[in-house]
Amino acid sequence: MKGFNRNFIKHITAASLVSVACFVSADSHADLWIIANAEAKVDDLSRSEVRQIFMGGTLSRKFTAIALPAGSDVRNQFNVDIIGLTESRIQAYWSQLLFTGRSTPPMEMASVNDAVRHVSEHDNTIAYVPEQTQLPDNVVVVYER
Amino acid sequence: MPAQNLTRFMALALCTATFAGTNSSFAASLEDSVSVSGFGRVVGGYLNTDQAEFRGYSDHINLDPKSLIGLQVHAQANDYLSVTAQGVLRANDTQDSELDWLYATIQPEDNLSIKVGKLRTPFFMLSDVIDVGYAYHWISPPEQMYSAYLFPTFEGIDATWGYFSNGFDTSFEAYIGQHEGDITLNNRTTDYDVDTLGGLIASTRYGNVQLRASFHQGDVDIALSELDLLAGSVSRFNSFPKTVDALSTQSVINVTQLGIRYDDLNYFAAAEWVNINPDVQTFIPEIDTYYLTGGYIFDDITLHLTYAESDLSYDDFPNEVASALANMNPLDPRYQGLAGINYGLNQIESSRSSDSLKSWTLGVRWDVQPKLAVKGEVTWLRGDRNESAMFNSIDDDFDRTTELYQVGVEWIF
Repeated sequence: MKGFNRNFIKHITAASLVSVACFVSADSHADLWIIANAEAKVDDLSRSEVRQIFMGGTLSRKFTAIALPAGSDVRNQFNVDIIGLTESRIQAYWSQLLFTGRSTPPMEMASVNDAVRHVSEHDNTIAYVPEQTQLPDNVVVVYER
Repeated sequence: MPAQNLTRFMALALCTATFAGTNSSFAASLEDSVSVSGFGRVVGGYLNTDQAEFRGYSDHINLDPKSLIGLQVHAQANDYLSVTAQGVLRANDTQDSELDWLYATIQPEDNLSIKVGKLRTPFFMLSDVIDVGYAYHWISPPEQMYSAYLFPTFEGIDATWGYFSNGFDTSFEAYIGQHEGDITLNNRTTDYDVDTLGGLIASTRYGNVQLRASFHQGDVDIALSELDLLAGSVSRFNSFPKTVDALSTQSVINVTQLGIRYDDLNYFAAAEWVNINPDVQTFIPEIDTYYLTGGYIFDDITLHLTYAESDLSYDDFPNEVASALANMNPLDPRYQGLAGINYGLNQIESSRSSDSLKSWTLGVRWDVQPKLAVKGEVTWLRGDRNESAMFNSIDDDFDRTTELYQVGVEWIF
């Protein structure tokens, strides 16, 4: 009986540790929303479409990408989860496009609120924000990560 | 470079580096429609031998060959039209500091972009961005490919059409134009004209994989009076048409390129192959060159390794002159003239530089902060003892084996 109890407690402890770990990791890795002005008339975008828009691909001529400042947590998460490259590699890539006249880097907004406001006020603009960000009626989520 | 020039260059370099250090926005907006941006690099190099020089480097630390500052001004007239100018000031005073780019961009629709003006020729993956060291991991992209004799800029028109479908972002680019400049062949710099040059580039990007294939052609006329003189003398004999053709200073040069690059969060790999094929190969060599490179990225540090190789070859002159001479009586009145021509042909053959070279490069890039990187690299150069192997001022007993050390600071603003 004692042995059973000890095992039972061990299992409970392990299970609760695992669930706490899951909770913590989910929390530290909040999801991202890609938002667009409703006038852009896109219901949803794929990850590779988002990537092309933010990396100066052909689609970036149709949509204007809005970024957050280098070093911000949301931007770092966007770099890793959506683009799949480090900040410095992305900067190097953009210098290549900028100085060959192929494209210009996304416009930077100082804060998430500024980004949302800009998207709300400009057609065909796209930005990334943390999930559950308060959005005005004319801004829609087009991709969730 | 004169001391005064160096001072001016260093002052400008410091000035723009400070600008980069303030972490200002990528392009400083003067007004909404005009933006100014730029790039700079200060690179020091040391060649570990006193028996030769390599691309401007010797056994003294030298900042001149690669240090430069570039400034770009971009003015957006409206949604469809913009004008861009880019000038580069080089520390090396033998290279012209001039406007490398000056063009108008017209974007009639989302998928099409047309540039008209003076543009950099987009031969290889990094050709049009070679001055912006911040854009790539090396200090020196493989010299075997990126310093090959070619036409760095052209005046003309370039159209790029892009299409996105099923995750593939594909673009087709076509350009046509002309170029006047100087070319360094066989350690000699001469004027040349490219009446018509053009190219087609197809590239596609899928996720973090990028593929690029291109074909380029130029109709080159090199100002080499001794070749013209020799061709004139040969043609007076009226019996050596192949030799006259082989002495032509006009040649069509074909360039074929294939490249692939893969990028990931923690590593990257790339390979590129190029063939440069002139239709007259007696004085201008055919070049086959490729490199393989890869690197590992942890935090702000990138460690990379590259192998590069080039193979140059020339055609010999037709032996019709030599064999005619062998069968001729030395008392024949034509003998002296023909012997002179044969001597001239041999002289040309022996003066051609054979620049095949193998190299390994191990380098590190530290991204200190966004827009500012510090780099260091060692290149092991391995040439053939019988060839110039891209070296110059070579001592007789130099074995064409040495190391090039470079350190550099790169920034954009």
